[in-house]
Amino acid sequence: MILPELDVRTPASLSDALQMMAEFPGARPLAGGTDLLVLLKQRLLPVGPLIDLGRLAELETLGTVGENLVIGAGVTLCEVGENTLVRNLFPALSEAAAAAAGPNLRNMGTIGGNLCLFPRCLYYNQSRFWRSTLGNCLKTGGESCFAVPGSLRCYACFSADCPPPLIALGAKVSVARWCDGQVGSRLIPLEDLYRNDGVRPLTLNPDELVTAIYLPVREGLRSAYGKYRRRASIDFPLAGVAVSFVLEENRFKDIVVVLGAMASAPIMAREAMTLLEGREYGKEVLEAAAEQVARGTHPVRNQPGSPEHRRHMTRILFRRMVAKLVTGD
Amino acid sequence: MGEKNEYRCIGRNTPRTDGLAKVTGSALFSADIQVSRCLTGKILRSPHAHARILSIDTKKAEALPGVKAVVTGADAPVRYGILPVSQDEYPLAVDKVRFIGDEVAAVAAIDEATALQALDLIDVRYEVLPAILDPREALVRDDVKIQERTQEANIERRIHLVFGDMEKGFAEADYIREDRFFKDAASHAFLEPHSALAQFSDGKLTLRTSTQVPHYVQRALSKVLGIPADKIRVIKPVLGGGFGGKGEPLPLEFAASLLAIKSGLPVRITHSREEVFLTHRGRHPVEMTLKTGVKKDGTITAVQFNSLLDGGAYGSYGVVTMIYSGQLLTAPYRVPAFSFDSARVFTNKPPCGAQRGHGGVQPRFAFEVHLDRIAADLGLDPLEVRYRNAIDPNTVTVNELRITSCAFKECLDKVAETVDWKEKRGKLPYGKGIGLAGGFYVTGAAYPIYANPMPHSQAQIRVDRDGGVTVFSGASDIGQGSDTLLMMITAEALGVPEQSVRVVSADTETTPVDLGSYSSRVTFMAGNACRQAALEIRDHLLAACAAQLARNQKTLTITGGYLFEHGKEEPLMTFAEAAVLAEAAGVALCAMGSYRPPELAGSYKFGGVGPSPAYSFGAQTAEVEVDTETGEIRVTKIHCAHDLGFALNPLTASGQAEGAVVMGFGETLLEHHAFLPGGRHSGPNFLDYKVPTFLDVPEVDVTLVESVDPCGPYGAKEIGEGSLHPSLPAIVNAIYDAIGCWFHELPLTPEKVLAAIAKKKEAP
Repeated sequence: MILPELDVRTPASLSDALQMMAEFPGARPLAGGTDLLVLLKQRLLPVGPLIDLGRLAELETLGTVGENLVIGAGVTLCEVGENTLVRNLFPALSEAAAAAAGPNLRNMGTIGGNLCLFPRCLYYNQSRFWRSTLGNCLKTGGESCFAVPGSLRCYACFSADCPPPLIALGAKVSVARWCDGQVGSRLIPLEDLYRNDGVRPLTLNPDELVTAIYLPVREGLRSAYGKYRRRASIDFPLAGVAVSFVLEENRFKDIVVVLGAMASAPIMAREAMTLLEGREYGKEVLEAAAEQVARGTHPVRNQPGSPEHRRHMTRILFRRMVAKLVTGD
Repeated sequence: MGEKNEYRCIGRNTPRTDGLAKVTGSALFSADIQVSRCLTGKILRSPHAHARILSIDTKKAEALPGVKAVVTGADAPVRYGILPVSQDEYPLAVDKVRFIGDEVAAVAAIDEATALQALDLIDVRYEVLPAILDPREALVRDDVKIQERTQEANIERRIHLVFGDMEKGFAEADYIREDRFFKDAASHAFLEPHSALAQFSDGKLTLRTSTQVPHYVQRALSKVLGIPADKIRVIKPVLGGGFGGKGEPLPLEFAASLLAIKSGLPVRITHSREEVFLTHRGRHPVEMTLKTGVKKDGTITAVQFNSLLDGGAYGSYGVVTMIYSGQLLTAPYRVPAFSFDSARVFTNKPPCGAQRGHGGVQPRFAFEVHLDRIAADLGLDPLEVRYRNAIDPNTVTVNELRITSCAFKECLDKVAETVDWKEKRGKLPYGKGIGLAGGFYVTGAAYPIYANPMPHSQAQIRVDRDGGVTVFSGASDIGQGSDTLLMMITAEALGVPEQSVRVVSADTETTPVDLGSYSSRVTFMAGNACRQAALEIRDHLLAACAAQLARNQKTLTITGGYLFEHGKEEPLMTFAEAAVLAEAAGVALCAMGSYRPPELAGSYKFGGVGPSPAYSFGAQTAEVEVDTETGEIRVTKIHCAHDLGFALNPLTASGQAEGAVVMGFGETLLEHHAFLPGGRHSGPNFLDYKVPTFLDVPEVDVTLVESVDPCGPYGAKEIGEGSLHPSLPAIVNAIYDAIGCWFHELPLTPEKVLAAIAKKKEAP
């Protein structure tokens, strides 16, 4: 498979990049390219100008600013995974970044790209030839869903590793655009970036860029990310579970549980969170919460492996992670 | 390995001659070779699993600027196939397409983008036919014929063979057990996609192609294109892995040739990874049943085996796969009575063919697990049962396979000792286990693919006056390192340093014929041919030098690149000086060598498939940990002991065994060449087809066991394929040891493991 002919623009600064995004209709940001270029090879996206973010220093920051840890959207997954600050303050993010894709891809892929990863489906992420044997699905402009026959909506699977822990850790992202002759930006909770729609997964406008992630530093916060996949070295998650909480006198405080790969967006396991909030740690209560985690998920058959097993894995991953965060083993 | 001290070159860890070029990127694979004005070829493929072609209109494609040629089935409506009994393929489809991905037409254009655009402009009208995807359906369904040549339903071929007295065997048994097994398809997953570069000028076709078998490709091209074979030159450039997937003539080779002839320009076709998966020719899915009778102590009295092979749309190597599936069950254990019934059927899926360990992998998995189940039923130690039945050297199996060298028992001893079998088996905590399995494999087929009496390997050696030695061999180095081995064997036999030997190989115009790289034949057969040629040229040289120096020839010898006289420490002269001296006597410094296996065919129909001049033997143990909550299996270590006769190059031999074990591991737990309803490949790419990476594989520990084969070059036999066989059942048997559950279907998934654990809890 070859790439279509590409029109790659190289902006000198972030404002340059945002101007280009505003100027060229159909423009797309190109960071590590590990997701985008494959989609282009498979002819899954219309070919528009690519705005190369690779050399923009503004997107490369990684450090504490005031109460926050700030991570530029252009920081590679490898750097996030190996960074000591991230590892000490937000182990869940560190674990997720280090488990995303495979080692070579983590050297290229950025955390911003991971936030904006296109949801995936067995019937969508295939070559043009492969898809031509079936016809278009909802996600490629057709009227049928091959994963869930009869469905009126697309269930493409949210397959990024970093967003669930980031949401669990209270991340906000800055979203920038060129407007009125200057850079304008807004800060939104990360969960608001997603809309649980396989066809239009992000709330971003076409001319907007995610530029940075802000993580509030909090004393005593415990967090972890668990990922289930068939091949440990390189695979998208079949289930992803992120959890964060503070333990006060052996009681859960501000617990957040976020699941990946269960829907078209990261989803919060609210029943489990409600069940555990303020409760004392114990095996039974944890098991009950784990049951709620699994019960709240509705994966469909659009990834390798059975949906039942993927649900089952959210329960196991959740229970094991929380137990380990509380007891140390 | 004590005997090695007498050798100067062989028996030592020797880096491969092509290693540096490969790791630095300077090696030229088929797709790397630059030719001026070369066009890019692309193949149009069927979107239907089964359809009749009503019409093909190529006019628009031909009219597209930049397109230089378009070809369809009508350009070469001649059938071919690797086996004489399965001539059922066309270069491009004629009348019908039989799987999603079947080749329909091909274009050559100035670049890939134009070629792809041209494919879209070819208008093919199809009448869609019902597709058969299930082999059981293929077995009985008569109203749909995938291949017109089948007589009964869609059965390509059946085989029924009986050896020994089955009735008596089962009557003598104290215990009889029957089991059903299934091993699904796997793919070779070689790194280099197929690539073929064709040039046609002055009535002569030159094809540089990633093939394991230049000779068979040349023959098939001649047949299909109607060009005499002497006007066809097939060259195998550096090749990035084959494992059987490049072991037969393939449509892209014909398509590139047809396009080059039609356009008058060089044409290259390189498969995408998806096209590699669709071209397939990989491991057959096989459904198997086994019925075995044993005495109380585990002594085997009779084995009955049935298999159903899902062949996909074409014949390929399938009839051989089918015969092997039974023929290779009569060792490494004594089986006094054996019968097998097998059938291979056509389905509307990519054709299956030969893959590393060809024919034996699926039944070996089944038999070794079956044997462990028998041991468990009788309360016997699986090691003891294997030992009790293990064959000895110099025996003949019930189906008349002639076994000469055999160190199977030693292999069992080695792995049992390393894994601490007696202390660990059955004694590890729940979730941890160890398992054992054995195996054996051919060292080259005793008969060529098309019947003829020619030597299977020939070699030609030339010595230059500068002392340089050139070996010309048709053998294909496909990454297994055969060029390096031929260099070592020649250097050893001739008495010169390895550095002065170069190997020119796999070019039908400049090298003498060799049947190719398949069935683990190259080291043994091409090695013997090279050794013979080297010894002969050495004799020529010594005789000429003796005459020139007025010495008795018997007092002269060549060692380490020097000519010596017996009893003297100082050499008489260098090898180069000796060559010049011999030349002066008017001697042409070249020689030929050849190898042809002895007559080994069994005295029954199909008795030619199975026999080999030598067999390798092996045993493996696997250590596993099962996560009983998630169903995940972690294989922590595989120990492999393999009787390879003699380790000519222990470094590359160990590499072969490690690679085979990793492939077996992948097929057991990760790799699944699967299809969605409708016959679409479930994921024809390396993300969805899950080959284990370096980070996923267990520790592999290889012990090379040497039985010194009487007919192998310096005693060598095969290692690259047989060392795959025991990996699958060793893992499955270890899982039983860990959690008490048996698995009869591969590949395994965490879902299957959890289901088995749950079932066992319900009804322990």
